[in-house]
Amino acid sequence: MVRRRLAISAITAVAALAALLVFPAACKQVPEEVLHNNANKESNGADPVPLAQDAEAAFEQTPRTLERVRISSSMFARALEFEKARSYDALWKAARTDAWLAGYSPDNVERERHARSGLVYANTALKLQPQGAEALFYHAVLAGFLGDLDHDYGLDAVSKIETNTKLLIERDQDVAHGGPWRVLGVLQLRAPGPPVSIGSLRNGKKNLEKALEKAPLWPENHLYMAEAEFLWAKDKDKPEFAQQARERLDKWLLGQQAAAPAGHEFEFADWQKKARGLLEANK
Amino acid sequence: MTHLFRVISPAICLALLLGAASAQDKPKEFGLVVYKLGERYATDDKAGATLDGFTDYLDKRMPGSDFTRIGVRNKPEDALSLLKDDKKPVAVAIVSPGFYFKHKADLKLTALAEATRGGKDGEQYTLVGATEMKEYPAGKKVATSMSADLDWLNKAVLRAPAGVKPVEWVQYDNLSDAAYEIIDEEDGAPDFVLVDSVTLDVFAKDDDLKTLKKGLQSERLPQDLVVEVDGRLGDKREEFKKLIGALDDNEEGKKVGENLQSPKFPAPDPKRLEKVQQWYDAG
Repeated sequence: MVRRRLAISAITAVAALAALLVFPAACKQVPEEVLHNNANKESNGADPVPLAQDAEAAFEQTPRTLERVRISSSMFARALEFEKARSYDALWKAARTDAWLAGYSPDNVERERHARSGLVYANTALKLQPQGAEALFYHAVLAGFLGDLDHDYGLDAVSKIETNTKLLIERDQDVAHGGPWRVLGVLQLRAPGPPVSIGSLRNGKKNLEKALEKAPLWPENHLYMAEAEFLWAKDKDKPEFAQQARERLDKWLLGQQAAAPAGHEFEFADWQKKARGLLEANK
Repeated sequence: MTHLFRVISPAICLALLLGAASAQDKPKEFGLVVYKLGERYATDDKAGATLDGFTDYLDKRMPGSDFTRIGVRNKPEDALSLLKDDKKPVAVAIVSPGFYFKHKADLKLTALAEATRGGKDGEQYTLVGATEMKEYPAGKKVATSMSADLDWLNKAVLRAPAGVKPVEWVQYDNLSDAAYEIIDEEDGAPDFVLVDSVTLDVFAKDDDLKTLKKGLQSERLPQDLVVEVDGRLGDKREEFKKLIGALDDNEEGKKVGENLQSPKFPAPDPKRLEKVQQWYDAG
């Protein structure tokens, strides 16, 4: 069994769309577009393969910044115009870069642009390796972002997230620190239950527990586990879970001993903001 | 003076004529309200855009009509106040059958059409639990998402035989979580869950939920009803009925139906309505 833990930020903002799944204004399919066939395109001497490697390096360089990830995205875009650079690895890594921007850019127009271009990379990667764990994961995440930014894609995005993450979970393939369990778990926490959608507090909590089992030191897993605990406390009338959630947030995200995983200061600041919001909402 | 009169008179006539013409050209306004029992996301915030898609569809296909969303509610008292508001008269509403039977007389409601959620004709509720319960579950705790309308539950869905202790209805927004409580043998879990036919299909596909046993079923009941309020559709009634009865005749209508979770809204089954009316009349 292949288990890969990728030292990257995991992106889980898919769940914001969940509440809009009940009555989306329209139903659009998440785009299935792949990169155009550019077999005859000349690279004018410049080799696109090292360019893709540089793009990857720009993403990996920490602490990560918006500017550098934007540069990574633009380098990937140039490199992947050429067939020669379109390996499975380069494609899913380009999808990851765009997923990061779709998650962390402060501008919604930019976020949507990257969600769409990331999907094209993920679709192309899946064409090369239909079972590729990383491509399946980022395809799910990007579909989630697109659904979040344009609710017309919401219903289809949920179906894509569910299909891809369940496939990875069945195979016990970890990506991004318990990513498949975390993404599905958060979606289940926030989505309506059947018959409308796949929401279930119990299943969401179980999947988040599993994400924590996979990556117990990853603060983002604790962030969403705390959300599940607050909901559990309310739903089951068990205030001890709310207390557990507060302690968890303090220990892993907000207290003096809480620290960003090396190189993930940017993402950590975002999780801290969410953690404060969670505490505020559960005073 | 005479000259002035001669000039003014035709001007007045012309103005009156123009006024009459513009009144005639002005589309007739029809307010629309939606009330979904047991659907916590049925709010203007979450479902408003979908309803606007429906009213836009009606406006396009019914020249001379201007349908406007007045509100989407999930609590009967909130829906009632919208329907009683004379300042914003409601012509058409999509309401739960329980609401229709309760307020048919006082609000002068006429059932024009019936939803066909999941493509199903009518609704049949099923009790599911750890044991197969074929009899009325006297005194048992039954999970439902519809406890806001106890009349509907007790007079139509699960009618208690005379002299038998009624069931204790317990509200769950998420019926699958109620069912998981039974499976996980949680303290305070309900004895049974009352599920609609679409949710029952969802349960059948879930590895855990399908282990629960199906028991007593309700009679086939009406689904949500499209009602006219106080004859306010006037001469547009037949056109309206025809349009929503054949919603799935064209691509745009199919999408609207998909979003409304009912492919079309055909005429209600009069026998079904009459049967339930008798139960309500009997108290």
